[in-house]
Amino acid sequence: MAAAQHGDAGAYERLLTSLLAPLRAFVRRRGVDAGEIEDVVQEILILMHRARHTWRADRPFEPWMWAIARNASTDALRRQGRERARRRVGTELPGERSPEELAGPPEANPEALLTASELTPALTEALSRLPAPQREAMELLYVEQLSVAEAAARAGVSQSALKVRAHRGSRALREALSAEDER
Amino acid sequence: MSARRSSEELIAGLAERLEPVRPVAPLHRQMLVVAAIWALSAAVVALWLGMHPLGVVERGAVSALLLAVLALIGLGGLTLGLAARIPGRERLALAAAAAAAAGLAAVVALGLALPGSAADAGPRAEWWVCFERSLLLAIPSGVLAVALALRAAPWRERATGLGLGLGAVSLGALLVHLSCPSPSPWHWLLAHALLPLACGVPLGLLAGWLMRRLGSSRHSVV
Repeated sequence: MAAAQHGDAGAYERLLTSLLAPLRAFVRRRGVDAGEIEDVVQEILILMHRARHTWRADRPFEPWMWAIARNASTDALRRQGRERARRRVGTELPGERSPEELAGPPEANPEALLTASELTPALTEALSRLPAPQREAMELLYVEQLSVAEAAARAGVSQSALKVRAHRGSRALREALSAEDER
Repeated sequence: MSARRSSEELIAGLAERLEPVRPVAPLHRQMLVVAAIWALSAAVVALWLGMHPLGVVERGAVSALLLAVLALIGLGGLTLGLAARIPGRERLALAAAAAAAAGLAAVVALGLALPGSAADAGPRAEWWVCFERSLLLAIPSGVLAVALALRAAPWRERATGLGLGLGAVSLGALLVHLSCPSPSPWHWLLAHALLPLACGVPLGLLAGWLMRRLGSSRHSVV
């Protein structure tokens, strides 16, 4: 880590790679959903990167690293809990539709269209009309296919803020595309 | 959402953009820097208003207790704020939070135990001056502590802000308590503790919000 603080990219890459397995095991032990483990590990790596100047050579590395891992996985568990609660409330409401039903067929789903190899002219046009923060969120998540953690770091906002932007962007795109279909 | 880019690719990207960084100063040195600025404020107050440390103790148990409690909240709050931003110093941050919380509880207990009422604090103009000075004297050490915290890990902004807000305001109030000639315990409690500390909470939350905003615009990494 000391070498990494001096800018040694090779040492840094070796260090982070060697941490992957213990971090995955740690995140799994903490009870993070299997599908989210890799996302949380990436959040930890990004947080370690952003906080790498807070480690001092006169203090042990492991407590520093585990503190970051604990913090990021606790955030993920909270998020997971909120997500579950939201889903539970959704299924309890009479007439409530599942997210898949709400999204409709893949053709009507802007996220699916954005991840296609080529963007249609209508989608490119609709995307260009979105406010810049929403457009950026959509592009980072669906065109560049970054994880939420990476996209949030790239946009310089919190993960919740990025998700809100993506949600609004998605809704605006859906409206724009359905208006286009009606014409 | 699943991680569509592998962690190995992420690591390669982070390593590719790696830049040398200067490690943050050790916690004890950060505390010493804040203490030095506070001592400078104390010197200014001593020249400006005069200080009566012995007089404060001689005024009785309430005054002495308040002095100790303000010092406890000040030290605890600042330690909490600075330690919370350094990964691996969570135990120290927790101990500091417990100390600050004990101090706050002592202030409330003092308020409940004190005979009389807030009306005994004297005319508003008198205690308002002390209250304003407490906030004013919190600025140098508070701003410096926020600047130090901002350079540390980009997390726990709310706890950091709260700790620093309460700590800085408490140390400002401590200076006011040391220099105030008022003989009224209700004046001390109201103008040197309750009001400044009540303001320290929103100020600290505001500092935390600012740290979050500034931190997210400074740290774009991938």
